[in-house]
Parts: sequence; structure tokens; C-alpha cells
Amino acid sequence: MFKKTKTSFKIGGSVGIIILLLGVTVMFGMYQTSKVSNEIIKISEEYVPLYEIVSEIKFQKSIQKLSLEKIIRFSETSSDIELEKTKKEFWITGRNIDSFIERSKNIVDVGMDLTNSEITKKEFEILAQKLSNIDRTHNQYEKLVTDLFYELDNFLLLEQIQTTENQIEIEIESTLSSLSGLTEESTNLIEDNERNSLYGQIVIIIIVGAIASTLGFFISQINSDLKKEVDLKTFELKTANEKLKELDKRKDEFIGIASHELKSPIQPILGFAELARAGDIDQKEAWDGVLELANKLQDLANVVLDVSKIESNRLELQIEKIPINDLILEIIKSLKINLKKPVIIKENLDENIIVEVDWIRIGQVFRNLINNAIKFTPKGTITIETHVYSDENKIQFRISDTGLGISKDVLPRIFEKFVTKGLKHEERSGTGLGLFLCKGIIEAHGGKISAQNNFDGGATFEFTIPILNKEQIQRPPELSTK
Amino acid sequence: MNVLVAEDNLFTIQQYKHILEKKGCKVTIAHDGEVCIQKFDDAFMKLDPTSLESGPFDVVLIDNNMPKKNGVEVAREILKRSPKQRIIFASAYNIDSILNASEEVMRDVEILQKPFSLNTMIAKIQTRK
Repeated sequence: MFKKTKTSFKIGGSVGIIILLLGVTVMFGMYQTSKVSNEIIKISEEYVPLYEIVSEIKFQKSIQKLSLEKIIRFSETSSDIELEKTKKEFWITGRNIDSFIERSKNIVDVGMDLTNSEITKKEFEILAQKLSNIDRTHNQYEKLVTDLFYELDNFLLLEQIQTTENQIEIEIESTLSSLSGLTEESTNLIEDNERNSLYGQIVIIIIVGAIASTLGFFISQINSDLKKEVDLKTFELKTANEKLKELDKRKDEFIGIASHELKSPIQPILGFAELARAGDIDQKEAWDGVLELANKLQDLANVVLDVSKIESNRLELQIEKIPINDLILEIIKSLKINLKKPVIIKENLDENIIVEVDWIRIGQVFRNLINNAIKFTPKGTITIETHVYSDENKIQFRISDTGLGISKDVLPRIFEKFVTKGLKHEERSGTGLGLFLCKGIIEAHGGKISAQNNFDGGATFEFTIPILNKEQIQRPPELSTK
Repeated sequence: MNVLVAEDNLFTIQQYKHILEKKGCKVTIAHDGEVCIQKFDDAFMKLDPTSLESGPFDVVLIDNNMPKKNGVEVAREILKRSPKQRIIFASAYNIDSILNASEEVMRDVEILQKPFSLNTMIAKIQTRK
């Protein structure tokens, strides 16, 4: 069962939280990729000056080489001043080279500190190794050159210097080439990284989109379910409301008619009192009239009370074991005494079995149905029959007459309240509640009652009740809401 | 006075008859709405053509709640025949609801709300509107 507002609120809340989480994920991803690529860019920025410095070393090295060649040449021409000058140049260039080597080493150290990746660290270590090789070979070279300056014609030394020089050149070249390789590699890495981060973002966006559309689908599904539920509930409420209104209307009608009926004996009671006091009528006549009216009023009040009990399912039965035929015969006997019409009451009774009923209530039903039959039979026969169905735990009663029958308009509603009131031959003596009470009592016993017209005239009322009242408690009668 | 009384309660109608006759009225009795119209028509047929409009009775006393035809219907039919027939409506029902239900009829009738004293009824009948 859905609680509309709460559910919507929950859905909204969870969607919000999911979107928030996705946003945080995206932000985190972007931060991470930017952090990584920044690092790579910084490192790659280290390679560029390193390359320049090593190129500078290469350049200075070639100057130094030229200086040495000059020195050798000048020594042959014995130009001492030029020789000393060039020697000075040679050493200055040498110090420059030392300084550049130092700077490049520093850059490599900084690079090594910057990087978090093992591979890059290793690359920097290799570079440092190469630079210290250059440094070492350069120092070796200068030492050899210092020795050479003492004996400039030592060819062996010259050859050694030549070899060292070549070695330095090779080392410088190798450093440069690996540096250019690294620069390219880091550029590729940046590009890769950017591509990867783009792919990552695309994937995240697609996932977010997919989740959002799935959620959207489910929410729309839930919404349509909710709508259906609400529509259904609205319809049910509307129906229930209409039913309640109808019941309320009926109740008002009942109260209106009942209060009128209860008030109507007041007028003749007042009349009797007034006339008796004035001596216009005999005292006995007045008292008899008042007594009759009071009794009628009491009966009516009881009927109204019973109706309200039936309507609120509060009709209580006092279930007792009684021989059913004894009850029926006693009722018939009492009715026959007051019979003032050419009507014969016949009985055709089955076995006198013991039934579990509220005999006062069932007696009320019999009196009501037989009195009705008498009322609507100006002349003729009334037959009371019983049929025992022990196998089915039920007993059937039929009260049929040869009277006027029931009109077609009334028959379908005959057990409703006041339907029979004011009918043509009713003569106003009834309350219009008798058959409603009969139905309520029979249903409270767990039985059924029905009415029909006979083919050859007159009407038949038929009801069945259980022989053994299994429940021993009241079964609430169904309220007719037709 | 010539009075037509329509009332379904047997005790009440006897009491009306008793007191009205004591006051020297000629009383015609009807036990339901249909009989009331029948009795009215019987008297109406015997009327002098000059007094058709004011009706055959001095007063028609009608109970609203009667079998076969209710008081409002009876009053309507009587007024159709004799628009100036004096009618007194006696009812235990809420008068207002009757008034609302059939204003055009109720304009031309007098009201006596039940329960009333028989002397009140006599006083009402003997006094013209």
C-alpha cells in the first residue's frame, strides 16, 4: 500500500542523494586526473631545461675540445701568451661544464623528489647515473689534460685524452637521446592521461545518465502505480461515500417516519382525555381507548428498538431447545381465537423435532407472517407447513394464503422498511416494519426468508433456519443497501 | 357548519365527529385520501352553480399523512375544483417541510399542527381566516 506523499518524498530524497554521490565521484575523478596530469606536466617541464643544460654541456665540451686543440697548436708555434690565454679559457670552460653538470644533477634531484611513480623515479636515477658518469669522465679528462700540460708532446696521454673525450661525447649523446625520449614519452603520457580522464568522464557521464534514466523509469512506474492506487482509492471512497449518503438518507427517512408514528397516538390520547374530562364521552370508553393506544405505542417502540438493533447488528438471541411444532400450534391456537374473518388456518407439520432457536423471536416471525396472511386474505385458507431436512441441518417453514397476493412493484422490496406501509389493503394498521424485522430475525438465526405469489392466487412466505444452532451466537444480518 | 373530515386514525376521527356534532356541525367522514375526494365530489355535484367556486363545505379538515393519497394531493385536487374552498391542514409532520414541498397548495390552506386540543380545532374552524 502506498502512502502518496511519503513515497514521493522518499523517492525524491534517494534520487537527490544518488545524484549528490555521483557528483562527488565525478569531482573526485576530475581532481585525481588533474592531479596526476599536473605531476606529469611538472616532471616533463623538468626534462626540457635538463635537455638544454646537457646540450650546453655538449656545447661547452666542444669549446673545451677546440681550446685543447688550440693549446696543442700554440705549443708547436711557441706563442706563450696565446698559449696561457687559451689554457685559461680551457679551465673556465671546464668550470662552466662543472657548473652545468651540478645544475643538471640538482634538476634531477628535484625531479626525483617530485615524482610519485616508481618508473619515473627509476628514469631519473638512470639520468643521475649518466650525469655522474659524465661528471666522473669529465674530471678524469681534466686530470689527463693537467698531466698533458706538463708534457704536451706525450702522445700516449693525448691518445688517452682523445678516448676520454669520445667517451664523454658518447655519454652526453646518450643522455640527450634518452632525455628527448623521455620528453616524448611524457608528452605521450600526458596525452594518454588526458584521453583516459576523458574516457573516464565519458564513462561516468554515461553511468550517471543510465542511472538517472533507470531511476526516471522506476519513478514514472511508481508514479503511475501511485496514480492507479489513488484513482482506485478515490473510486472506493466515492462509492463508500455514496453508500453512506444513501444509508444516511434511509436513516433520516426512518427517523422521520418512526418519530411520526410514535407521535401520532398522542392526538387521540389527548382527544380521549379532553372529551372524558368534559363529560362528552363515557370514562370507560376513554380509558379503553387510551389503553389500546398506549399498548400500540409500546409495540411500536419495541419494533423501532428491534429495527435499530438489527440495523446495527446488535440483535441478541436467547437460543433455547424447543419442540418446534408445539410452538407453532400454540401460536396458531391464539390467533384462531381472535380470528374475525371467514378464514381457515390449516397446519401440515413434519416431525416435531427439537430446534435451537430464540423461540420468542421465531414466535414473533410466525405471528407476523400469519397475521399478514390473515390481513390480506378476506376469505379463504391459510396453510402452515414445515419440512425437516435433518441431513442438511435445516427446517423449512411455509405460510401460504389464498388471498390478494403481493403487487409486482412491492414484491422485490417487500423485506425493506416501510415498503408495505400505506398499501391499498393495509388499512394503516401496520407499521411497515414487520417484514424487515422477520428478515433480520431469520438472518440472525443463520437462515433465509423469501416471498412469492402463488400461481393460483395468494402469496407464500418461506423461511429456513438451522435445526442446531452451531454458532450459538448471533449472526449479523446483511444490511440490504439496494 | 358543514365539515368534511379526512383522517385515518379511527379514534381521532370519532373524537372529531363527537366534538363537531356537539357544536352543531354536519360532519362527513373520510378514512383516506381517495375517499375524501370521492365525498367531496359527491357534494360538489349537488352544488348550486353559483357556489361552485367556494366549494360544498364550510371547512375541509385534512390530515396530511393518509393512505392512498396524502393530504397535499387531496388539497390540490379539491382546490382544482373549488379554488376558494376553505381547507385546514392537520399534521404531525414538520409543517415547514410540507410548505416547501408544495408551496402553491399550501398558500391557500390553513395549518393546524398536531397534537392539538379539540377546543383549539373548534376555535380554528369557527374563526375565518
